[in-house]
Amino acid sequence: MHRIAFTLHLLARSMRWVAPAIVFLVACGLVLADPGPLRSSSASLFPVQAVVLCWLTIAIGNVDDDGHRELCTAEAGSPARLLVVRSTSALALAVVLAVVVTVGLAIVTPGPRSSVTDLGAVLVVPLAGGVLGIGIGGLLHRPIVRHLGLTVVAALGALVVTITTGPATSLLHDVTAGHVTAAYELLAATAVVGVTLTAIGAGLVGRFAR
Amino acid sequence: MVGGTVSSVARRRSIPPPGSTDRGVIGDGVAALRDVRVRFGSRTVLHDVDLDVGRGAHWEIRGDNGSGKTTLLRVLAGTCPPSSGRRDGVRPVAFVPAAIDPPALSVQAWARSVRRRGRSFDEALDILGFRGEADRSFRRLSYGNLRKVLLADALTSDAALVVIDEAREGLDDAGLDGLAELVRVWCADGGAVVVADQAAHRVPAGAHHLIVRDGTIITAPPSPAAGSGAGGEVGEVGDVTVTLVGPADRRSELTDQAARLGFRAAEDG
Repeated sequence: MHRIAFTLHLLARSMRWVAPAIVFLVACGLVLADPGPLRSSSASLFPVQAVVLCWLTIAIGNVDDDGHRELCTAEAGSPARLLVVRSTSALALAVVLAVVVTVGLAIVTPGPRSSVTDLGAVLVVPLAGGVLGIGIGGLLHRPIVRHLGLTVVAALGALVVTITTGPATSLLHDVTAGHVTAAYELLAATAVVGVTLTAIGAGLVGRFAR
Repeated sequence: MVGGTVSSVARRRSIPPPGSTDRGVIGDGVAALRDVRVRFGSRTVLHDVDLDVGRGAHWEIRGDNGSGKTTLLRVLAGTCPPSSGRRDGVRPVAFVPAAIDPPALSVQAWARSVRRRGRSFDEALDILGFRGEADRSFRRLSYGNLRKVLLADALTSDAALVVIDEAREGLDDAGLDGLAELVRVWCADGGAVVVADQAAHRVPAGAHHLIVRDGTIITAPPSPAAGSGAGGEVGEVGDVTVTLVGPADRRSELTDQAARLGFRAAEDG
């Protein structure tokens, strides 16, 4: 737990969170300014959360130089463990941001008060986007990828492919159509992808740490 | 020794590692390297490395620039997985790299959150003669004070093994004395310390001395500076005289090789 707190402390003081925070606020502002049905608004925040959490995960991975990262790696136990610590820190941010947008949507969306079931489904969709973004971002920071240009191109490519193709698109459509279970299926699918990508990153990072 | 090769001479006078009588088992040790090899691409930077670090041991590693000291320390610290071979031992490790770009935190904020501690960080700073302001930004410290903060951090951690690269770089006399004191206390409490420095820095009394050359460990010669402190293997072995007998036409070649391995080689006809 102290490692996650330290990671978030480093991120907070580095100011690398500012740019993704602006993107998050602008995107959420656009959605909240003209809220449609609750689930539809929630679905439109899926790609926003994916982009923002991918960016934040890369920022967390690149928050320090090689020397300080080595110090943190030794403290965590291995390069793989440090990657998991940093991805878990990003997951904590994903949960916080998902709660914030859910509360915001619940407040501004017109109509009768939403049930707990509805709010649960609304919370899960941006969280799923965050988990997907964390999985992609975890593969694209130092020491695995050291060139920022390559990181940006690879991140955008991976996000576009995963969000616009595959099961995410149809599941988001189902969420918009009102299928509550689709939201949880979406979270399960992105969790599988996120965990798989993080495991791949943990396996690779030792090689790149040399 | 009669008719032996230089390499067999070196093997016979190799010093057993501290804290371990069984090279296959960590036992009371905190870290062990077994047949470790590290490659950066096609270049082998470390090879054939076996090392046991026992509780309370203080190892001092010396070697030229590019000899493989830092890579050896990184493998011990767990930050550089070996390409082949094994690293067994405790985790986490408190590692002090040779250089870091400090994060944008105050010294106190960083020290409070970077790891759990078993000792007082502020006391360690005092012992090292730290003269800066610990509530100011890490980034505004002088190089010497930055090194003192990193040393105080590592030597007050709750880890069982401390690994320090370029330990004495940038330290003033107070810092050098403080480092010696902190290492002494650390080892007396059962912790292990592995330190690498340039050859110009004398190996402290009681420390185990290793030389890294061309990517592998060669056992250091008995050092006049090494005493018989706790666990001081070098001091216990003392001077070793080795007689090489071989063909006359290979005599100078053998003595040259012995000298390269750290023996004070001399031809006596």
